[in-house]
Amino acid sequence: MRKTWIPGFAIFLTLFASWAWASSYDSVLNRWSKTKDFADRGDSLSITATYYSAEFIEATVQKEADKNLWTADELDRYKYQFLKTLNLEDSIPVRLSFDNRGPALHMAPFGKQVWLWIGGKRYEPKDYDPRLNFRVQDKIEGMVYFPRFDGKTGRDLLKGAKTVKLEVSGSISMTMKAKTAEFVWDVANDNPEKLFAGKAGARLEMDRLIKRLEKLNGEKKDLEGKLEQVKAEIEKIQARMSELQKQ
Amino acid sequence: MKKIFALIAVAALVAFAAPAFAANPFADVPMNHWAYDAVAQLAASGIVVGYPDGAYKGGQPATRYEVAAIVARALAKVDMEKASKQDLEMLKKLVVEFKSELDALGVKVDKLDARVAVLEERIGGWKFGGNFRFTAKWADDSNYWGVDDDTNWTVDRFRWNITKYVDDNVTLNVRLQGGGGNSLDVVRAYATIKFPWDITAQVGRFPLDWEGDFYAGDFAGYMMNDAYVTDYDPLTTAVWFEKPFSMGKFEMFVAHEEGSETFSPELNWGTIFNWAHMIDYPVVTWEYVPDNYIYGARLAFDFNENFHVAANYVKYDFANEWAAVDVYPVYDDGWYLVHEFYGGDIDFSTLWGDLIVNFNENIAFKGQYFVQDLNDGWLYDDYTDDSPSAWKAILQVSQDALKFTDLWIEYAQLDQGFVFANADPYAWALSGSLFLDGPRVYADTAVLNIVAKQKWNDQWWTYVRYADFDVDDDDADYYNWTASVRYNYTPNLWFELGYDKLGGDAITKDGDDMVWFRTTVNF
Repeated sequence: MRKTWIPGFAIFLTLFASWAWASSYDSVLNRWSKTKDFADRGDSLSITATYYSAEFIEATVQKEADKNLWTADELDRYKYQFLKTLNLEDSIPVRLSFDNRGPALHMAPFGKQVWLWIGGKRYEPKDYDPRLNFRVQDKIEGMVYFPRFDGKTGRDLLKGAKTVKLEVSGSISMTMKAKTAEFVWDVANDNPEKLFAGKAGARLEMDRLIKRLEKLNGEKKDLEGKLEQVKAEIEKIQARMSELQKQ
Repeated sequence: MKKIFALIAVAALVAFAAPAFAANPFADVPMNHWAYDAVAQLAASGIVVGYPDGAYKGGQPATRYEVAAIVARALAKVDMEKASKQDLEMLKKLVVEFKSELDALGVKVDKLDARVAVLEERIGGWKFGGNFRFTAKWADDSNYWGVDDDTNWTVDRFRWNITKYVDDNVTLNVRLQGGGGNSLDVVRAYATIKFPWDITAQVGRFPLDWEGDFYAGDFAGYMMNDAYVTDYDPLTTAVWFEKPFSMGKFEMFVAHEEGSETFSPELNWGTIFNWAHMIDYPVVTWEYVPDNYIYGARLAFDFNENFHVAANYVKYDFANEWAAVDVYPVYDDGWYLVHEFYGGDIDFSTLWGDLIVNFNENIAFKGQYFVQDLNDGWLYDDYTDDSPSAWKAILQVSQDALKFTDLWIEYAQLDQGFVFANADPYAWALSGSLFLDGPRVYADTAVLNIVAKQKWNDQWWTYVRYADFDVDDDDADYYNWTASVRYNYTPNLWFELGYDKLGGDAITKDGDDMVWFRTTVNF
């Protein structure tokens, strides 16, 4: 009575699906976009998380370029704007989309409901789209930015990381039945440095250097101010010592 | 000092954000106005940022426009990480006070909804949501679906969720639910508490489901197969700890259920010894269910994005043995009262493993293997196996892969005597009356469940399901077909029309059909 045709049917479907699924850029874009579905007897919630890997960004840019028949210069300009919007120089961007078909979602304060695990440590976002704090009755999506560098040491957090895991708290919706949504991406072969090659990368690097220069100039000014204060105090002390010696 | 700081901010911002008003000669916000202290306090607590240092050294009254410019700036820059409830209250109060100036500055408060809403979200207190569901069913006479008198119309659910974000470490969730003849009741009430070392605890009456990846749901998550062990809703009063780590998670819970003692005289329909015809006869039943604890632990691990495993364990530990007595009369050349005793040690546990292999983002293989350890109270009649097992294998393909539909193909085998610890997972297909004996499988059974779901667009969704129950007792074989069309009139209101059909050896009539129509409103 057992259904012996089932394994064969399963293999057929797998092969068929593998065949049906495939298209150069879409396959790359899909790879970095993951969806988790939650259901609670009448209510449903889909959460889609997209990790902006170098591969994903390149595929997005190339897809736009192909679609619009851009020249190399146009592509570079778009890429520059795109990278700048993503704050890649100091952030790890993730886009989160919520499709809610159940009671309203209340996710505020969103920054306390989402984390990124990198190399054994959990990080809260440094910034996020404030609309994610809204009451949500249908769909919403927004960017969430996690720190790319360690706050104390300045180390690149993704350097040497094999996987990253995004968590969204189960307390944002009762439809999730208190279960955390988890999204795992293998990033070992992803090379964000590659993004900064070419004209767009050079412009971004220039932006970053200008910012860094401004910061260093500010620090220099502070230090010079402090040095002036120290010098003034030294002069004051020396003057007082001279006065005392004369007494 | 605070006032000076506030004025520094005023001047700097006016210079930066609203130069057109910088020369405004009307200093109409006196230095003793509460707004100075409010702005200074916001600046001191670091939620208003971005003021250049040393731009202003004096201490003069400001105009309302200048203060409004600060408020606009604060709305754009407020740092939610640092802002306390009091800070946000204050900022909101400033928005209200300077609303007309903000409007005049072109900073429409309505258009600033993002920031204003942020304030509302943080200080609004209790949050509400919920839904309402109306269902109408039509079926044959004397149907398996339990539809009274062919037709049944009911408001079968009113659900009201209440959430309170108490502080960064505590969230409170409460659900009131009624409908389908039940009065509104508190069905969930629990606190989510964050502890150091990334540990989270749920305390109270909460749902717990460790098998959510392994059962199919329709678009709304009901009327499909369910978990074999967990998916408690709610888990009776309990504590649940979670400790995530980089590539996995450890979870454990303990719950306690009060026992019960029932005494119930009733009339049963049956044959009394050596009587040639059926009559009603009285049965008096007494049952004692002892208190019990439920313990559970789970360790889940992701080797990478494509390979996930988990080990799970749940044990029901009763304080005493379960006992029951049936007393009924028998006529055998005179009337006798017969006593039938049942009982025994009904502790039992389930150990199971999970495996998920993602071939790519659209195709996954999932498998589960369960084994139970039953104490002697579960062993009677044909139930002689004290370690029944079950397994299921699933192929899941997303609509993105096939371009036309999602597919869920599930095959499961269940040993005779396997106990569904929490709830009947196949209740949607009337398993309770067809292949289960109370909470357990009465004969070796194979289940095939195929679900094809398709979202044609945002409005129209459909699914088709075929479930086949192949029971070792051939007379119990049966199948269930379901087809449904859903129209999403808005994201918060949808209508669903469905058809169900039962057939097979176990269905004593020539099939059994039901048509149902459901309306759901979310709020």
